[in-house]
Amino acid sequence: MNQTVIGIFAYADKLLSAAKELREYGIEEVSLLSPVPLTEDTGQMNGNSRDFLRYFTFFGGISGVIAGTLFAVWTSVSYPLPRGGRPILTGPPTLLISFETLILAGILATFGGFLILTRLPALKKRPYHDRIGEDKFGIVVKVKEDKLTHIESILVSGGAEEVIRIED
Amino acid sequence: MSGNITYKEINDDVINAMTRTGPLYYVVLAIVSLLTVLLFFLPWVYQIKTGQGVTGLNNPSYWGVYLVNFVFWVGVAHAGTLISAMLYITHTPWRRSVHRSAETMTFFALIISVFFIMIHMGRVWNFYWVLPYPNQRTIWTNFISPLIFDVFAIGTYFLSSLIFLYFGLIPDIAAIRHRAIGWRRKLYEALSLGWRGTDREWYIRDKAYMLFSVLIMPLVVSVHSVVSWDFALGIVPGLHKTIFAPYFVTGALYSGFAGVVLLISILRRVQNSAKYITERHYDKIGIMLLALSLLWSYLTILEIVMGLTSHSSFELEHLRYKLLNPGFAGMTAIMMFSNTILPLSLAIRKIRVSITCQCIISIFILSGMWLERFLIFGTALPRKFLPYAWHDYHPGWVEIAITAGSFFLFILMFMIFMKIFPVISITEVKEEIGMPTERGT
Repeated sequence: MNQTVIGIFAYADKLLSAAKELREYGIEEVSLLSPVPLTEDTGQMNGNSRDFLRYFTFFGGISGVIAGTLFAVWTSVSYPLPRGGRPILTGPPTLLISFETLILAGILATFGGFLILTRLPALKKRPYHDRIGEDKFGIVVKVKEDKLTHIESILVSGGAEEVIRIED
Repeated sequence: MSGNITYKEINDDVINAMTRTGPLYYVVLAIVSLLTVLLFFLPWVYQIKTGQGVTGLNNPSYWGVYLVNFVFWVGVAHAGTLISAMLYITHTPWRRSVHRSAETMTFFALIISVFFIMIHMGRVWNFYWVLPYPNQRTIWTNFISPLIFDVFAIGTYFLSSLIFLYFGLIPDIAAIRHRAIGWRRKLYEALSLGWRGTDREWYIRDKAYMLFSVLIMPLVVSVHSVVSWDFALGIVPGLHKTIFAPYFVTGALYSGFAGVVLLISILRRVQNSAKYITERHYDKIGIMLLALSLLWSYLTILEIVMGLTSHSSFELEHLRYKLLNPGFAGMTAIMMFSNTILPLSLAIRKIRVSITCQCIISIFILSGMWLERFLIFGTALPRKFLPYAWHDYHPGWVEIAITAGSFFLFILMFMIFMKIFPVISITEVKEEIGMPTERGT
């Protein structure tokens, strides 16, 4: 049976060195909790290096341009509004509309991508400690019961102020 | 940031500012609410019941104070995104304590600007006619009209600003949710989406923040350019100028920064946040104001020179009316003093770091920028082409009341917001002081 353990730390450097030690021990699934953004290296260290978010933005933007252009073109051509011999379909207004829809769709897609990649909103309660939002740091580790004591000792020797067990 | 502040102290300060409310706050809130209803909503209801005849709008001046206010508030909205996005990309550290207030200002200023479009519209219940939607008459909105550019630009900016504001708030709401009780706790738990601050969440959040910033920056420029084209794409003398887009964008940023100065000064006083909003912030914003003042002054002079060299009698008549008519000449003089001469004093550091001086200069800048917009609309349409059509424009009492009321509406929205959400970014202020390590931060 798996068990989740949270180690609560007061200092960021202690947190990072304890996380390193856990990875060296062979624990792959180490999640760090922090009240502030950790360094980029830390994010990549945990297997986040594949930055998918930009694809959401890119494809969102592209969809926005296509949708905006098609919309402006389709309505102008299908419901023509003759204006004293001027062209029914004109470039600059279509470009402007498609630019705005590019930005809008890009932003919506980025926000959607952020939610998908961070798995938010969280429907189930996940391991957390209220002090993380204030001034503490945390390490969340999911381990088999036989390794539990050893993991706890790594966390304590690494500087954890408190180690909390959570039943899965 | 002043002194040695701990992470916990930041949380405590922000929570205390939100929850500890003295009787003075409620008194001010009641007065502001009353003034908003009396000056903004009641005159608007009266206008809806009576008709647009209660305003000074008449042939040929169908663009009056309402559109001046629309442009003014959209302009004020611009600095928020500038501080959040441009200064984020350039890793400017002083933005951290002030960006939330600026983003909030953006959002509320946009709400008010949309109100003014509806007020200007007259038959407000038909507002949805501006939106592209299928209808039984098979008439679609005309995409060649700059007014439709506006719908798309303002709509995009409104949604983007809302997402940007909310996105930044997520970790902050999560940081305070466990200390909240009752409806606050339910609200914060729902809005924080279950944010825990994992390395993965922070990593993706940082990437998303950068992408938002990159997308929003051109949007800021496009929005006020589009607003300027509402006027510049017509052939009305005084409005039909190619310089309008950069002129409007510069003016928007200029008035927006002045708005930020006032807002953070009020916050500093009301929320006792002097340790977060320091002399350094005023110094940096002062330099921005000075630079924008110089750029705005250059464009203003250029606008006049463009008119003088236009070889168009209509354009020259408009300039004569704007610069030599006693009433408008006085307004032009006040505008130049407020926006060009007075801000030169910001070259002196002592004045930049003096909160009183900056507030006074900012009030002058905001007044000057409002006058600038009034001078653009108030002088162009009354002198539209041939003299038989000339007619002076004088705003009616309803227009004046609603204009004054809009400022109270803005204050009201901000006063409510600052008691529900953190107006100083907890996360970013913590980032600024650095992570605690065993050897200190």
